[in-house]
Amino acid sequence: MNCGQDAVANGREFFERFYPKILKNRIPVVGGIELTTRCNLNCSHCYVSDSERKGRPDQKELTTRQWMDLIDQVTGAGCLFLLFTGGEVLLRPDFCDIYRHACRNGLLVTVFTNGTLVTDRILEIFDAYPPYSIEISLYGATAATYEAVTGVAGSFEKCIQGIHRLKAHGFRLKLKTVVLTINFDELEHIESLAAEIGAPFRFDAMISARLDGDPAPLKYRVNPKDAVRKEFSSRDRAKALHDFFCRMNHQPVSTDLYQCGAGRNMFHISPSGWVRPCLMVSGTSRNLLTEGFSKIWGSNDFKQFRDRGKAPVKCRECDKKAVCGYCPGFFQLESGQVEMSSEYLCDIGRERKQAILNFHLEENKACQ
Amino acid sequence: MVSQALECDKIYCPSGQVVTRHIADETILIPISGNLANMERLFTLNDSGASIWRLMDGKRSVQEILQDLIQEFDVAEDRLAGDMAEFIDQLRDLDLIAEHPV
Repeated sequence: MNCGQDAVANGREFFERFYPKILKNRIPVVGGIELTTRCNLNCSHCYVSDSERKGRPDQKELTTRQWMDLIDQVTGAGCLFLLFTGGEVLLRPDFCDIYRHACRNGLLVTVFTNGTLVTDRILEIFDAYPPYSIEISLYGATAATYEAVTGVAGSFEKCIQGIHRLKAHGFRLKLKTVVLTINFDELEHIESLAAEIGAPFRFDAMISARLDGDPAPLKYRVNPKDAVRKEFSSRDRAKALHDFFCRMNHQPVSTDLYQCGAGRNMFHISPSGWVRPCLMVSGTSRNLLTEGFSKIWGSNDFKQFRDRGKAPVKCRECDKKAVCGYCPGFFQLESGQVEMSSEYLCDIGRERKQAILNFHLEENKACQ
Repeated sequence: MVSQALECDKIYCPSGQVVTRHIADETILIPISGNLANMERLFTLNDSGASIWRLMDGKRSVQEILQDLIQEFDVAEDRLAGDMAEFIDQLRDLDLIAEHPV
């Protein structure tokens, strides 16, 4: 019997023990709930289709009661980390009720929001039940750039106000952006603004077509060379990518199509209750209004989801796979097929690997 | 002989600010409100800690829990009492338990 020193533990040691059990038993510990696809912004690069952003009358969103019931079901199935995403989640008038319900179930809730709708009521509910994390996309450091992305006049000011209000309440706030041709030249300023606000910041250049196949966002894609140059403009970022590559390079090569947690310990639920292994991959989906979550998660469709298909031949032995952003969901949006690699990701991988080698040589030179 | 540090008459229950989750044979305590929710996001209990936690139901006294655990674990009463006292102190310091009026 020892309930002393290590009886109450947290952190790395726990997760090192926890995750192998999660994977072995296929427990859906990480989930994303897309409360709505509706949004008050009209971002140029958004993966949500135009019609869904405006709200399709033929795709009815689940009611408050239905969401709460569903949250009970995923909690019972072992979900621990839950993401509320959209669309803009704060457009749901019942957001506070649904959010409170998830917190009271003992879920660690992350909220993705554009930050433009942070009211006193939202601050009150977050004060009462602090979120695990709040993430806001900051598309520009100026109104001109930000609104060139969002397409809505006055949205920059509202976003900045929302960020400051959340920050003033001490919540765990993270800022991020997608890198687009529209805001590429302003990226350093966005990063400085995030530092001034005191929030961690990250960016990503992986723009895909919309989920309905509309290629409109692709015209805002930054070329791989420029995107990677931005990543390696900071020594910290370069070192993180370098260290990640070195670590992953020693992992055994896998020919599995899915190398992430989709369908194994991760799930996604659409506004009308469709459960999928991940947001990006269509094809395997079943509706919660006709069968319960556990039944769906335990169905052959979901259990065998990961056994269908192999990584694209080109990717199997590729030494850049660890850093290219390999994602069958992304492949599907590029080519319509999950097993066809993306030229864009190949180029990103090539540029990153070269940049990692350059960084390695520079670091070694500095050590000599 | 029971350790002096263990307050045997006291009755504890989980604080209203914490939710207990059982996932993959782990007992996980999630602080959902109050200061702790802002600082630490989860605590896990080892097997013996989880046994004590399970018995802290706002009905059993510390003494009763001790007796139950002596049956469950093959361990000397003194040692168990010392471990329990330390564990209860930790939980109390973290506001994870509340004292229930006798």
